[in-house]
Amino acid sequence: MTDAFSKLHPTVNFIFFVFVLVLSMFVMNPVCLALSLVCAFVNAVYLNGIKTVKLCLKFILPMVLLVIIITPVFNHQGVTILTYFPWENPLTLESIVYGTASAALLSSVVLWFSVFNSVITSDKLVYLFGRIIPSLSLVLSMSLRFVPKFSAQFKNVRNAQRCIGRDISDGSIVNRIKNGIRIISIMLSWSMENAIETADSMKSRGFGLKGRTAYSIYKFDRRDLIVLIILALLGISVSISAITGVIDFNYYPSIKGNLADVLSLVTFFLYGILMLIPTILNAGEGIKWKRLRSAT
Amino acid sequence: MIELLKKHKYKIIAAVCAFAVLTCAFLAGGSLGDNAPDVVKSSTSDVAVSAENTTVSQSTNESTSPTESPTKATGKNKPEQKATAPTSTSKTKSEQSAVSNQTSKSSSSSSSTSSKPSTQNSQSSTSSKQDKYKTDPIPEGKPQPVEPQEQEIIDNTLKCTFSISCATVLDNMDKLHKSKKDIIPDDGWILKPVTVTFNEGESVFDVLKQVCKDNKIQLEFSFTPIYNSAYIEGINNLYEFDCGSLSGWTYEVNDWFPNYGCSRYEVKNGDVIEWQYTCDLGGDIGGYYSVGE
Repeated sequence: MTDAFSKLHPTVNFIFFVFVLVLSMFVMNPVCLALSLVCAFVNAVYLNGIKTVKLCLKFILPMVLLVIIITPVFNHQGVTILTYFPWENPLTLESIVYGTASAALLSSVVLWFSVFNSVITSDKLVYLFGRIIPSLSLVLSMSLRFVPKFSAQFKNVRNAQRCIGRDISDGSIVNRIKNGIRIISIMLSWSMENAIETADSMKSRGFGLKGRTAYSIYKFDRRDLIVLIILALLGISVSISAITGVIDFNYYPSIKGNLADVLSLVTFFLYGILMLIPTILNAGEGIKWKRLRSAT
Repeated sequence: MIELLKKHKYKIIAAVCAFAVLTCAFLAGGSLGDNAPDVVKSSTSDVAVSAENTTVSQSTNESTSPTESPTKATGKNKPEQKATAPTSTSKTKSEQSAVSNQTSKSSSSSSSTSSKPSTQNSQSSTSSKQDKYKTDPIPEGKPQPVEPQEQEIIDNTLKCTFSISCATVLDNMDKLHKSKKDIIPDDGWILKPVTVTFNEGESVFDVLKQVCKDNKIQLEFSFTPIYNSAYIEGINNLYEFDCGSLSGWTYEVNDWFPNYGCSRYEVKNGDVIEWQYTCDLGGDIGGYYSVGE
């Protein structure tokens, strides 16, 4: 996988995600939501391919439907009354629109986090926070690592137990429960021992000590600086217009907001560019590669 | 057969235990649900008794009046000042408290509660007088609540005057949420007084629902079982707490703010019903505080 954005310095990656996630979480303007959703989807598909589509179908689609249905059922604000529920509270157009908007917000944030996970790997996370908050970053990377490690070990233990006829699919219910409990107890003691071993080995290597140096393969070069400056300018200007209320949008009591005046159009443009930075970098890389190949 | 029982004895014991636990839980839960007010009452009376015990013990120790006990505790260091008079009184006090324990219970408990904040007072003193939906006694000459489950709607057309007003918001525009400015009418009337028809036996809430539907006014409510009444959260998109933390909807019938929910007020022919938005817990429209309980 050649992703130009992932090869940038981790600090630049992290700042990008801070801006993008915070803005996607707090800006409820429908145009911004649509931009964020589309860009998140494009980035996620580029990075994770078919996995993203699976995530969308399995998790995001049911969540979206649930939010769109649940919001109007429990929220009755809005001036446009469409009809009345059997319990005599009104069903309003505004609440349906708001439900759709919040579903878009939720799914875009989930998609951005899936992008975050594949760009900021655990070694980058430890690199970023290893010196500032060593214990937290160690705990974070250990716990992120824990789930796949645990399930792999679980499979091993279960197979071993099956070989001596103590599988959870054998015998009566009581026997099955006994075997299951045995496997869980094995897993618990294993994971505790494992955690202690990891902690001991980190300690013996002097993790988190003052003045300890760490080898890192990341170097902050000119390209990183350029991207960081562009990123900061875009992010700060969009944040300012979000805070000052240029792109404010009201869903209740009536749907109201400026979508077409110059300032908000400029903001939408900047917002779109900010979120497309990874895509732009990748596209640029691709064009360069093609040009170099055709030159030879 | 016995072998089978032996083989499965743990299962049988487990099933019996589970059943017993569930039965106990069901019975206890049912009785708790039924006697919830009694439980509250007994607990408050326990508090009163314990408070009384402490005051009695204080009075037997040294003091003449329980409220002055902290100052007396400092005065204990120099008993020669009051050596003559207080000893005799304290003795008589202790005898009295020992003899007339039962009679002093009421007085001491009332004194202890009256010295406490008024919330404690109202809870302990009115829990016996409140009905099962926590309604204080209805003033004389005012209609008694009719439970919505018991209301019989008779199909005969009666008339009442109905209005919805949010005039108090006009004085508190600075507190109003920014997005709600547009929905406030200039004169404060969401619905000017009109004569509406209703069926005999309908409650204020039924009339409100009907009027809002007819006039295409948005209305949101939630039914509150503990008061056995609907709670009006918002009318015409103006919600509770939209104009400060003391704001919300109230209703007034024939210049009286009923002290029970709008689902329990049965409308009579010719009643004047006013729904009013308050920004100060009723103080700005002549209810609650200004009436003085």
